[in-house]
Amino acid sequence: MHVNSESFIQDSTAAVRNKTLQTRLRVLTGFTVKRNLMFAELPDGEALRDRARQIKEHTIGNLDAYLCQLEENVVRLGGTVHWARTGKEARAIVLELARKNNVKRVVKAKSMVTEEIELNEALEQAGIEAVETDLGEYIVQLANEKPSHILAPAVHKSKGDISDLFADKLGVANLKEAEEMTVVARRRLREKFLTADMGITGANFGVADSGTIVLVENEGNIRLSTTVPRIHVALMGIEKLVPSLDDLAVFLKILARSASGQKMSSYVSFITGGRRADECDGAEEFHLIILDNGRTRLLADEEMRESLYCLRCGACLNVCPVYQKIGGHAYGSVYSGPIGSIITPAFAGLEKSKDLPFASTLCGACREICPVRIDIPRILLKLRSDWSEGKRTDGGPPLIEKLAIRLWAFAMRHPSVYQLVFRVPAFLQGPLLEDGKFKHLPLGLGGWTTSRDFPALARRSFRSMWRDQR
Amino acid sequence: MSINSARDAILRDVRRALGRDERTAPPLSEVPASTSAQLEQLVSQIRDNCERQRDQLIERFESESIRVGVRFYRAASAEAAFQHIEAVCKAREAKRIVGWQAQVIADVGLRERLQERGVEFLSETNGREFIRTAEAADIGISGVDYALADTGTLVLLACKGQARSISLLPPVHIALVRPRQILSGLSDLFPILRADAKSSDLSSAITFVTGPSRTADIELTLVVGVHGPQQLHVLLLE
Repeated sequence: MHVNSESFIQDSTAAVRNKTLQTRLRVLTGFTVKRNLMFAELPDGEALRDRARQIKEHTIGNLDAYLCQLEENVVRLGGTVHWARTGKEARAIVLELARKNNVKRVVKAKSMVTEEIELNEALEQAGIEAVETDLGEYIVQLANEKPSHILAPAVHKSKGDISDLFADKLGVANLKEAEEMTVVARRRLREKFLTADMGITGANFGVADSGTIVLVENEGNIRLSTTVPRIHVALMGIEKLVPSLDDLAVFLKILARSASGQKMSSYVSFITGGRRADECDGAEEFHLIILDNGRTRLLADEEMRESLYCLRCGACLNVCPVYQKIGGHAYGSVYSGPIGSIITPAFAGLEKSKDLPFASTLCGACREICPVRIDIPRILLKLRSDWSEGKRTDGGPPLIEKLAIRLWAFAMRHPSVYQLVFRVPAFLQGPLLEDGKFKHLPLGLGGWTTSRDFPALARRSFRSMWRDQR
Repeated sequence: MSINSARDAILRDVRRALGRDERTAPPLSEVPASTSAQLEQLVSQIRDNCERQRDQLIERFESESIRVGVRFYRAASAEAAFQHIEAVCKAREAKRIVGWQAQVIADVGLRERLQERGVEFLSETNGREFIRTAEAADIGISGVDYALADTGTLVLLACKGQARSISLLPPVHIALVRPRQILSGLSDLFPILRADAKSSDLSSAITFVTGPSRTADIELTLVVGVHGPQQLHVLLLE
């Protein structure tokens, strides 16, 4: 997976200073307020979350069995199943299907997986028009940008931005209200739906025992993408499986509440194969592409494995104090926010995304709000530890930092050294203090004090005071 | 690389990741599938419960539907239902309607009565032209297979006579619901779907419809009516 996370420090700094972005991001707290109300309404909300986690744990723990069962059922009901180890293989499968079927135009529903494998670029390069149909994705596509939030891809854009964009790219000027812009988008996109040869979606869930793909939305663009074009291609990460419809019910009860504070999204589509012989609409051909692309790596690492339970609801983004300040783009990855900080290193390599696990206050709000109770702070700490110890990655902290940490550890284990390093300076620090604090630390430690003060060393150590007490 | 080798590689990687022998046969699933008799018994229980709670279910279904922006109407008779539909047609200046081939629509005598008033009522035809027909229609009228009271959801199963386009392409969707079709929620629905499905397979497309289409992608401002219908009318035919 391609990322731009190496410039995280610069990008996040710029984001914090971007007043427009800050205003735009403030609206996200609304999602969390609604989510909390909706969960409070559920008589058994906590039990459902526990059950959801249990189901994911069981399914992921028996993933090969369920993948085989899903494949068997999809094929039995007239669909075709393809397997892709990498994004490259998945793109090749889509392009081959397009070529074989003379596909000129594709309509796309919002799908993180298709962003992850950079499918649009591959389609465009092959001379196929790929139109994003989710309103937020459509806007972002017109602006030639990447989405910045799982649920609301264009949340970083103001009405004014979008109005200008529509004037520029669609030739429709002076649109002021969201409703007017939506009407224009509906009309333009309806034309695309009716003339598209192929519809591409992701999959929120795959139900193994019935061979069903489940898609959740509010706009209706997924229904259109799976009803009108001749061919429907669904891309699904291996981790999206659930064993049965009854298990799915648990997730349907909590997904919309967690994501957008709704009891149920406007539409849920259960697709089992293509249309039957006597139907007059619906895709004629149904193709499911099962994608690994680094997920088996997460599966193999028992400490990371629970990150595969993620439902991509976006709740952790909305509640994260860091995401709320910097927005999605600063992460430089398709997957941003808390969940993005733990899976991006797995998909793209820790050395390319080393700043992400550190960009957290470890407040735990994400763990509290996650519908499947993923312990994100624990995994962030693990990734930090991996980085510092130079494990599982080519990179690591600079030599001087490694040396400094070793010296500090040595000093903490040897009382006489500790005395020398920490007690002696306590006598000498006077001239360096301003208002009784270090406003600027000396000796190359200045990085600590660029945005905070460092407390003065105590004149007497606790141990000496304690000794006197007894 | 042939397709199968990607499949084999992924399954091998999964098994390896889970610390299992690469060639193990998949384990049995956690809960043994219920027998056909057990399922029938469960479904029977569900239907009895729904029958007993009929009035509460109707109340709940109505309030939850209104909550999600549905225009809800209780029709005491087929005549009242027709008049309401006629009023909607007039308000929309509708000339062309697409509709399910369903018993409830026949019960209201919709096709004939609308034709009398110069409004075309078309059901599906063969081939792909029907999609174009639905696109050009002003209103789509359907029945439902089930309705869920706790979320105000309509459950539509795609099949011959129940084209997906009807509830999707026109800007207005009118759904006719019978009280006995209302279930309490998902826990009632899924066992019934499993039991009902012919040869235990599901319909090619089951759609849950909860209110009209909506988006909040522009500054998180709620706009009702995007790609799917802008108006959803639910007529409870008692």
